[in-house]
Amino acid sequence: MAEVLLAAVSKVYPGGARAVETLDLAIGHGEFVVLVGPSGCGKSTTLRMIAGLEDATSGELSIDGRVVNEVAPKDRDVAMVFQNYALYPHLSVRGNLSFPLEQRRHHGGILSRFTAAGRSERASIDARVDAVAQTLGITPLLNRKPAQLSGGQRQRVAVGRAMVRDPKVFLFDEPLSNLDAKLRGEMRTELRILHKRLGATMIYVTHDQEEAMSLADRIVVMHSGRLQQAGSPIDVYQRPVNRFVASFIGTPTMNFIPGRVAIDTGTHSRSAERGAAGAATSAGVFRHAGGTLALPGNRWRDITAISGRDLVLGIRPDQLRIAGDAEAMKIAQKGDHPPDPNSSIICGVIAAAEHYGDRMDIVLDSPSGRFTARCPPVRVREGDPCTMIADLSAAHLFEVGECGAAIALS
Amino acid sequence: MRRTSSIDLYTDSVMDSSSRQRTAILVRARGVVGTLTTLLRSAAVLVFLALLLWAFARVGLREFARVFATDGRTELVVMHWSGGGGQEEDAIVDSSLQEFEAANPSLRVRRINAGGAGDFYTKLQTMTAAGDPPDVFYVGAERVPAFAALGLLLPLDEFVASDGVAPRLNLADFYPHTVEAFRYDAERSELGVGPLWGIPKDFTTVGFYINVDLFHRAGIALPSDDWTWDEFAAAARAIGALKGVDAGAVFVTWPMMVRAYLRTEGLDVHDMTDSAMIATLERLRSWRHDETKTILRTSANIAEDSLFLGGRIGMAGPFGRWVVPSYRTIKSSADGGFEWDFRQLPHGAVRSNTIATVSWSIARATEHPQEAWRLVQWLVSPASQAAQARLGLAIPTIRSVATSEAFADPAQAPANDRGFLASAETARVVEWPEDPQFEGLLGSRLDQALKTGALSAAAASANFVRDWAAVSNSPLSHRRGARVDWSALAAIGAAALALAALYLYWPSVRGGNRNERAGMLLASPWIIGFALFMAIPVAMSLVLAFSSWSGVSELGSAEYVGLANFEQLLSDDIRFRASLRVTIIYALIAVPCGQLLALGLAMLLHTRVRPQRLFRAAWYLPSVVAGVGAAVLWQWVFDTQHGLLNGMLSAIGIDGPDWLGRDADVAGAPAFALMSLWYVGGSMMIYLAGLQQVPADLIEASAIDGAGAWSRFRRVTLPMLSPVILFNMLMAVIASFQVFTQAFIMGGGKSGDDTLFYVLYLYDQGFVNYRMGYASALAWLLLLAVLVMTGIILRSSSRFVYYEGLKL
Repeated sequence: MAEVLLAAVSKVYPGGARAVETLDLAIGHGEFVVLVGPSGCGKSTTLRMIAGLEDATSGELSIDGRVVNEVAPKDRDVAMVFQNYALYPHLSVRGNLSFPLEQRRHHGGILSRFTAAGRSERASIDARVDAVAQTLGITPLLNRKPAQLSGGQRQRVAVGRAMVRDPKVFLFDEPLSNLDAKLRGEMRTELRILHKRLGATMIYVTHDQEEAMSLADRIVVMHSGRLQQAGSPIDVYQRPVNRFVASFIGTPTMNFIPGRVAIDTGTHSRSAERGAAGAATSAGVFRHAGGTLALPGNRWRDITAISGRDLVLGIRPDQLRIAGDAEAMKIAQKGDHPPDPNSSIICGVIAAAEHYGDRMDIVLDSPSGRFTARCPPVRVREGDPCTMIADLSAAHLFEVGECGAAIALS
Repeated sequence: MRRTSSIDLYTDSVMDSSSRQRTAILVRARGVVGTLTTLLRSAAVLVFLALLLWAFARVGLREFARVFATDGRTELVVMHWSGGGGQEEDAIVDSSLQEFEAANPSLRVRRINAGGAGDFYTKLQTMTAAGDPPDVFYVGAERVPAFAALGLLLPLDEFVASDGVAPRLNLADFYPHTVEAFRYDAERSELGVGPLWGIPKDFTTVGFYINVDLFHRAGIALPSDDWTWDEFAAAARAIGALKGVDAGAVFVTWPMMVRAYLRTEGLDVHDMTDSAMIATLERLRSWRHDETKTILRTSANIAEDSLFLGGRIGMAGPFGRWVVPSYRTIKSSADGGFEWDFRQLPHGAVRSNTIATVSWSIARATEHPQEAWRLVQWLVSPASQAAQARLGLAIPTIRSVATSEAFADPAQAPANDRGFLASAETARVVEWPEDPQFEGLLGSRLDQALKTGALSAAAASANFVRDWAAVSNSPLSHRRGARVDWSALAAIGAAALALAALYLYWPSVRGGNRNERAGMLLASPWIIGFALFMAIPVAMSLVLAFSSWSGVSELGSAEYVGLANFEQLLSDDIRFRASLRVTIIYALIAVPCGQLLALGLAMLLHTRVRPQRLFRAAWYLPSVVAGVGAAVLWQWVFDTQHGLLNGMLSAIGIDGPDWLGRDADVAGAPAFALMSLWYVGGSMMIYLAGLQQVPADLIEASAIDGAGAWSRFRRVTLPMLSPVILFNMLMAVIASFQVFTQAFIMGGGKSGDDTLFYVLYLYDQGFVNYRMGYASALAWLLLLAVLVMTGIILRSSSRFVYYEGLKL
């Protein structure tokens, strides 16, 4: 167990490419931190700097209080699991597992098998390897070569090779991305359990936000070499600090509608009449190319301050639902007035419908852009016109731009 | 309605019309450029194909025209060399032949100039073995016994006797000993009597070329043509003592010249153990090796006659007239050169000189003996001889021409042309036994005393006596057996080839699909080429390994000798054992050192040294330098006194060895191994490619796992590289047993057997000693040895070669 501290760490490659920019990150004892982001965001570089495979251009990197910028990888007491496992193909599984221990022998050398110290050291290595193999359930594979193993088995051996040394920090560089989806799910669970059992500090890199969400104690979202947001999975999901984080976390990705906020007195008075929560605050509307959406008045800290500005509204797909036939008819008769003050309707044509059994994703082409809704399975036909009802009680507003900051929630 | 239109608006906004236009223009422009490129490329291919076709057609049609020439003239093929005479000799022979054609309208002459004398004999051997020898060709007197015994030449006495056509050939006009040189009685193995095998075209006596200016500087009088060895030695010492002079004299130790030297003391190599003989040889050795700068001490296999050109050598010889054309390029003293002249060979107890002479001879297999004789008669006529004499290269064999101004041109150096003629009436050729090995062995053994100074004259002579006895008493030289029945073998071979063809082609013809048939068709040129140029010759060499065949007579004259070749090789052949020893020592040094260096360099390059391409190219460059050129360069690197290597060694206070000469027994094979390191570029490239194949993660993983640099290399890189190492090792081992070019150029086996590489010995046996059967046995033994070695390496490789790295 150890603490890892990155203080203003930057990495600039020769040639000027800036992979990581002034990264500050503190990772606590026994924490499972996942660095997530699209490829090229600097997450792997960060991990490799912690491992010592890359030198930090500036900033300070310390493990357990010791500055390790100038310490060789082998002396940092970290272990790493690589994307393609990096098992030594010429060694058996046992050879792979004992390799890190062999490198640290005090009584090694050609003559070790003839000295008492050497022999006992050998025995303790074997015992340690056996124990780790037992834990991971790979004891029957000990005499095989990596080429004779399946992907999942190789993955286990790679984890075993990291475990065997009992390092201060475990580093994982996209370790599951070469496995098929089913196996990936299983291994994810196992890793999570392993972490609980070992209680070790683990730093994990992935581009798969789902993997990140399911594994992490804390997620660190990175983009273009910069840290965007660090926090618990649920926090990052519910309170993204900017449009990038919002779009990166969550599947299917959040829907974004460009438009403008206005204070709508009509809506205001009606919601006041119905006595909805937060009725005392002023409510607004969001005007976009395809119509107007009513914003719940109590969602944002100060909605009047943003009135009249060009913003982007973010709605998660699970907050969109298909209006039933009767509901749609009612809406059609009343015009564009929604049945609920916090809801709005979006009209368009179904571009695609993807069924998953328990749920389905409907992709809607509307004048305000393309929307994806995740909803219970219904019978729809691609090409049909469709009306969707958006629940804006969990919606977000962002400044314009790829990384536009989120408008503060109340 | 509203919805649909807004959707249209949406799609439109994706690509506005102006950008659409731009894209369209771009696509069109790209199309034009693409078409142009395609056109240009097709045009280039067409031009190339046309050139190729034209070249083939030209060569093909020329041969075609030659075969089907319908002018009704009889064709005679003439072959000669033009070593010292160069292009001028070439032109003179050509014009003589044209005049001959003009004078004989019924005859047509095709001339082949094989280049130097060495290439000439190889070509003659190949043509004769193929049953298509030239009709008329040069023969050096030293080859007469061998060629006469092998039955290559047509006896000419009858033609001489019945010669009625003008210009009538009268042997009495010739210097008698030049004619005698071409009489040889094969039954009695006696020179000077018996049939006449050629008409001497020219000859030369031998002596020393002297640097007149250096004689003047040393304050000694120019010698007369009647000088003694003591005067020679005194002059050499005096000149050698001068400042800025390399040595008093250059004294070549070719077997013929050594015998010329011995003859001046009334001795010859018949009794090598005679004390007077040993003393005379020892005197020569001592001048060279016990005294400083009396005689130039060089063991490099360089053209010793050219050393004289530099003006820092007092005397050079014994040489014949042949160096004169090149010496005539020396500028006069006024122009910064020096004056030079010629003196007869000095005398000891006896006044004696030796001649070298070349004849025009006729192949016994010629289909037009009468016509060939007319050509020979033309070529040795006074007019032709006078034309050739102007080259200055040799003395005409007809007395009247030799004494005319055609030869003794008073306007040109050397002033003492008469010196060449002084002993022309009495000088004789040295007599060589029929077995060409005698000369090679004599040279190789005596050179260990005379040239390198590694042994005393007594020891060198004793070695020669011992080794020559072994060669001449070998059962193989007397063994006779049944003729090889080539027609039966050819039938068996044809049947085997037909079976092989059936095995290869039948499946695709019978059941194959289109692709398979097309594949076999496309592979056919290679398969046919392999059968014709590899399989058949290899099979023939296997038959020859159990036969005795000279390589210059027809293939039909080969005789079975059973296992005798192999018996001789494995039980009696000292030189074979020596060559094996040299080759194995070489391999033991060159292979590991070369591989270590190649791997080391590849590792250095792999660390991304900045101008990586530059270093890579620099290290690979030597591998593209032609072998012969490199060997010539390396000869200078290894030169004892002026060599680069010894120069560097002396800079750090080490007195470098005489690599390829005196110290060859220790330094010879290592010197060649050192040279082989020059060629590590190829292996290095393969290692570099191998290193780049090792996944970076593995190295990184081991770095994190706690491995230091050495451990990473030893435990990860090396095992991952092991298949590449195996491959490179095998290639290097095989290559190390095939060393030839370097050794051939750098005089391997010329003085002692310490640099006699296996393949060089094989070549000598086949092409110098005319023992093609024996050479074939050597080749097959080598093949077996290499096969066994490769087998052992491959078998044992499973212990240290990991192929798993390739599978992952």
